[in-house]
Amino acid sequence: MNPFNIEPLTFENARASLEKDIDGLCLVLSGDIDMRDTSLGFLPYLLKIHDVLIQNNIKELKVNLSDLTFMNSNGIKSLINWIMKLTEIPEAARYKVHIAANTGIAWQESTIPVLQKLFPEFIIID
Amino acid sequence: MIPLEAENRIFVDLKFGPKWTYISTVRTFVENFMAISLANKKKAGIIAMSVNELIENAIKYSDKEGIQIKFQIMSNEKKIYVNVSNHATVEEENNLKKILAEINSLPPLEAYMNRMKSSLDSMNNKSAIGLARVRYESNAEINHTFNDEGFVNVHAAIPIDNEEVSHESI
Repeated sequence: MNPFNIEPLTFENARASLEKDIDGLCLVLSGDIDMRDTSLGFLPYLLKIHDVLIQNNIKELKVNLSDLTFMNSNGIKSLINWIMKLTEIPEAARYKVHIAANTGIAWQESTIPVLQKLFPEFIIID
Repeated sequence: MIPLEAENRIFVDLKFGPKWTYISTVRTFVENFMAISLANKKKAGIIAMSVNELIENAIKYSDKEGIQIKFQIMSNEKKIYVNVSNHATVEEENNLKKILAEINSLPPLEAYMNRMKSSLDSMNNKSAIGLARVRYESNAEINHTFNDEGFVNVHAAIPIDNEEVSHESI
């Protein structure tokens, strides 16, 4: 659970939850994100977390993808939409996204570094 | 086009209605099939992702029932051929032609990043990141044909190493 009462979200074949651990806040994504329209459940969840991070002046978010076996291009588009929001706010209010990817999963090994290359100021691969 | 030489033994030919809910089942089937056929299990995941993206595109752009998928492992050519076919309007085929021309005109990484950036301008789910993703992640050559009956065939030729083909499958 997390101090902001953001409930976990289950959508079709995937699950997202915001968790608090000793290192801070962690967004855990698992399952298969393969919905036709990720702007209905997945993206609003990401943007809700974004708003909470900004409102509480939090500077780092971990994203754990170790059990996220698949993400389609709609899901990737939602991630891009989310990170783009960081470019729209003042620099002092921005936070970093630390992605813990699973290199045993082929799509993560290839696509996560591309996202990092697209947003080098915001994404760090741990 | 997928070559049809008699010695090609590892192949699949599937046809299903354009229902989004079937895609994950097809993707899982392809990954399991490829995991038997390929020694490199990560490659199986990449092929499954590629088929998934091509089917998603086919369903998004289809104007009639019926998506056909064929894939074939050609170890002698060191390639896997994936062919996804759907019925489409001339307008949709023209859009596909433009997108593929743009993607194929750039190095794979640059094309993928460009589609990621331009996806934000797309107000619907037709961002075409998927085609650029398939080309980048699988190193595929992608092209298409459009026949007189209105069927778009998207062909992806994905390179493999000989050692990636499992001897158990032959």
